[in-house]
Amino acid sequence: MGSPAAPASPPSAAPHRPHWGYQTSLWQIRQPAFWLFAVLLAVTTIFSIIIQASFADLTPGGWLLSWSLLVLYAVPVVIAIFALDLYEREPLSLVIGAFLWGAFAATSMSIFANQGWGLALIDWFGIEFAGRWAPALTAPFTEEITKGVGVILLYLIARGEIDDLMDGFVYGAMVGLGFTIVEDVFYFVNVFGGDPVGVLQGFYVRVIASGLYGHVLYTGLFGMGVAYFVARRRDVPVGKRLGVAALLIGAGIFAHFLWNSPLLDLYPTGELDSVGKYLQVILATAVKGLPFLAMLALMIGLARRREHRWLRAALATEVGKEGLHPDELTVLERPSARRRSRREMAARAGPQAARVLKRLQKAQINLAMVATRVHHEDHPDLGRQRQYCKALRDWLSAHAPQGPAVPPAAPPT
Amino acid sequence: MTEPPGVPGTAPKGTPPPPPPPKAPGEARWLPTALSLVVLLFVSFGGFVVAGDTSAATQEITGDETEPGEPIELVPGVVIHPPQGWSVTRPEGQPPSLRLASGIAQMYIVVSPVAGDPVQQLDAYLNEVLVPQASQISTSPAESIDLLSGHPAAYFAYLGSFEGVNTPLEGEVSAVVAPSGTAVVIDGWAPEGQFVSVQQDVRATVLAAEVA
Repeated sequence: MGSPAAPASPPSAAPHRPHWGYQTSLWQIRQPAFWLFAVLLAVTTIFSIIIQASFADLTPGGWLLSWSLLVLYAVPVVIAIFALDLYEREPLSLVIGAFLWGAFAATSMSIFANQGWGLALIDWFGIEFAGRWAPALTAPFTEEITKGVGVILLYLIARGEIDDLMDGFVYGAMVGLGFTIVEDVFYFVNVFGGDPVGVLQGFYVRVIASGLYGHVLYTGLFGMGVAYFVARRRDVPVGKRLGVAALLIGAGIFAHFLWNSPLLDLYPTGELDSVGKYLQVILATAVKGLPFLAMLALMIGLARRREHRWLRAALATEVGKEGLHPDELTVLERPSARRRSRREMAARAGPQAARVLKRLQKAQINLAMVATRVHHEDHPDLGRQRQYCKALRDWLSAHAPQGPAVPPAAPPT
Repeated sequence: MTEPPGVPGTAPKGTPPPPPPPKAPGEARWLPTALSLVVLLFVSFGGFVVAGDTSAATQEITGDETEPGEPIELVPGVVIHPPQGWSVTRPEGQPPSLRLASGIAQMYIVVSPVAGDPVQQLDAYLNEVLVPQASQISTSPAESIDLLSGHPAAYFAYLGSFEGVNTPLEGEVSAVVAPSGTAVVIDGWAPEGQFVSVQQDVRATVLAAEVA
């Protein structure tokens, strides 16, 4: 017997309003996950400091140069990760926690794990096989799991903060960035010799030629897998969530496996002593890393489209009110349109007007955050935010000849 | 031109402080936290258990110097204290030498057949032993070591690819020279990325070596 008139499920094109307006810090002392995270991080940080001290003792100049170069690498990567996260900025304490977990906890545990499972491989398959395959059969699993559990613990600490794939990417990528920086210091000092020439050579091989394909990519995929599983509970069956999460996490592990394996190995043999060999390094790394970078780019693209739809959903009740005009929403949805509108404003009314327009756009995104947080449209917080947006727009109307810039409807044909 | 709105102190700054969310924060979740801990413990130490070599993990956790094994007299006046858990073999032939092994790490300890100070000993070992077997090798500058005995000693670190070995190896070579001129070279190595786990054992062997 069929059930009578079951309520229709909401159309999939209308996403739930995100909970962007809620922010949770790392300091959730009532969560057991917080204490596990904190204790493991504290213990492993001491262990890491001891190792770093031994590196600094071995080659002080090379160690300092290594850190200096890696800070130069980390800054633009952090900016890029944040730039990809268009609307909802993750709480700084959680982002820093993710970085520290990758830098200290995951690297320390991986030292034990790689050693232990390397011994197990020798036990099972003999020294010859282990010598050839240990890097591919240990690190991709041990390192991805120790890093990925960090993302899972952050989710358990602040469950509301991972509500979309992009959140998982941000936390995963930050864990991966922390890991790769500490691992690179180890490589520069221990593997590339630690002298300035060796450190620079290591920087070329591991950062310039391979920086796009390493741990930021692997753990970014892992984080997206975790995020897909936990954030799509309401609209995706558990089987599909498990499948997609396994696919994304598996892709991160497989990318790491391929990187470490002797398969598709086009890396030049002998010393890097010619321009041709340096170029060959770029080719060798691209062959192994580029397909997975493309996959990550695709997933980020899909996640951003979903965030666009969420922004529209979050602001649906605000469009046409004093805080947000319909044409402003069109601009707000696309970062490129926002940048173009600010450039046009700068050309027309000067840099100060462009800065005010930037503030207006940020205030309108914050309007979306407030709108997801309050329960009725007359909430004082929402009213204040609308007033603030209006005040900025009024200022622009008074001081810029044509008000806020709107991008052209279509390119000239 | 008047100041735009929102100058600090004159207008609301961005998003006002959030009120309490509509529902209480999620309940404490013990099970997934416990599962996470189990996974981390299994991944970090499970390999040692599977391989039946839990002592290696304990050494790394404590960071303590290992209890030395039975001292071995390599030649009169040269006594080596192998770290606990390392197997020892004494190859036939000259010069007198020992081979120590622990899992994937190895040490080769040899009485040097050449004369010279520690840096010369290291140069000789690099050029006569390592370089001929290596298809590619990079080394750190030699650094001196302070020994309790006051004997001159030095070491360098290396990374290289060696014939018959499919993975790059990294290690440290140390040389200790007694006032009598007797010199011992200790070379400890492991596959790339693994040496850090036995570095302490190798250095402890160097520090404990008795050379007269």
